[in-house]
Amino acid sequence: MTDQGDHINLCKADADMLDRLVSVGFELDQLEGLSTEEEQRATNILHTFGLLEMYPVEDADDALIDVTLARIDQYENKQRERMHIQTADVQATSSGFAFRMPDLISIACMVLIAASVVIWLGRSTRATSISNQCASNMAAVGTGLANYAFDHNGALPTTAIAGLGGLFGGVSPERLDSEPLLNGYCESHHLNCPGHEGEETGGFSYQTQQKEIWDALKRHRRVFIVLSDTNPILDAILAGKNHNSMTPSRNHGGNRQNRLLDDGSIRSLVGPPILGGDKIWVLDGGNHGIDIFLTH
Amino acid sequence: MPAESKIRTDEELLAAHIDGDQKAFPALMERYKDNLLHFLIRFVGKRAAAEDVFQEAFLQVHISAETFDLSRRFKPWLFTIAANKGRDWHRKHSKRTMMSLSQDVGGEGEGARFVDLLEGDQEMPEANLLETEQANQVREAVDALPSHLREILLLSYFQQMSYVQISESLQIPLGTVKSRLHSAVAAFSSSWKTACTEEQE
Repeated sequence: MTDQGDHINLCKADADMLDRLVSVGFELDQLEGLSTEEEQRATNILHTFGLLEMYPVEDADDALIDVTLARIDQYENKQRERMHIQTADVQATSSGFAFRMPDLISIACMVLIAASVVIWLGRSTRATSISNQCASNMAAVGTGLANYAFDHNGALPTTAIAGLGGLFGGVSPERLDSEPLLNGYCESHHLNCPGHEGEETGGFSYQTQQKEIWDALKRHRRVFIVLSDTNPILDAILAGKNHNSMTPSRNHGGNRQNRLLDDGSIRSLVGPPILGGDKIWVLDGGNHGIDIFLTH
Repeated sequence: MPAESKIRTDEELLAAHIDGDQKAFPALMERYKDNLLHFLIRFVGKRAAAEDVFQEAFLQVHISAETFDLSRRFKPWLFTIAANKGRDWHRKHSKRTMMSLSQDVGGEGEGARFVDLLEGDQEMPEANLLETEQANQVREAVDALPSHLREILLLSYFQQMSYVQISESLQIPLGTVKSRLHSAVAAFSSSWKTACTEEQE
């Protein structure tokens, strides 16, 4: 079986003219001695290519570079973790036969270093494991939400939240509601980040918007964040403390910042997440049209 | 007066990045962010996916930077990496059966259909359709193309890569590049014509 297009081809005259146009970088003026028919043929080919210009594209957000650099950082951090493991292996297998005092001191130092590396790695590995488990729970919630939306004409479950009106111009916003998902769409333990501190919230923050913004998000078909690790900025706002948009969530010891997008994908970053130029922890007044904001 | 009177070439920026210049890589990305993102949006058909592939492409550039022969041009290398990542994306997300990349397409055998652009009563875009509608129909026509035809269409026209450059970049025979571009143009033209006919009806 092949795709559409594989059995359609240009007639020989068009194909030859196309080859000539490619050879001159689609500059018709560069082709000399064309007959009227050939010129018309070349014009038609250029017109066909010109249609491609109409394919709707948008320029990149400034944040795309930041996000890409964050991804590179994440890669480099992983590489460094691997290097640490390899270094620890080399140190742990180093030994000598003639034990003199300097050797013993060296060996003692190496044992201490190796022990501290192993302890550090143990903590790091545990945090990574918890972060992975958290991401796995989010993925299950994502599947549950997709199934819920399928059963409810594409609607996501939301509920009005009192007490946050001050952040939303006096209008109580609606938060993504996880409760209905417990009716067969996911398990209760999926609504829980295993690495969060505190028993009340489950460790996730949920997308919170005024009703019309929810509608706009659907209308624009923009990929947005549905839920994430606990939003640290909201804690700071509610406690009346100063906040910094780059503060990481406290979940899993600040190791990885997980969030679930409405297309069901999970993103895990080292630093606080930014989506489409929006620092999602912060309700920043909407430099990007619609603020992504998560509450718990 | 600008601090730096001479604008560094792509290859110089990459060399500076390899040497640890922290500003070089962001500058390189800045230079290509719109051009590459446009290519990827057209190639994968979705902005969010295109941004993801964009990140993967530059991550790959970062990882492979030291293996790049700095006497060569950076741009074709970047677009080759991006096209490969875009193809991976299609492979992961498409349930459609693709042809082998090494297989020639658009053969003149049984079942092949030929398009003559001179004979066609191809509609000019301004003839009937509103701008947004035209854009959507162009998108539908491009998105309907198999990814192995779409990438060659985009590389040849928007990046103005020659057959030889595309052949080297995608590591497929020159003849295959040609026949794929012929098929791509014919299929796109056919889709567009169908869309215009349906609109008229």
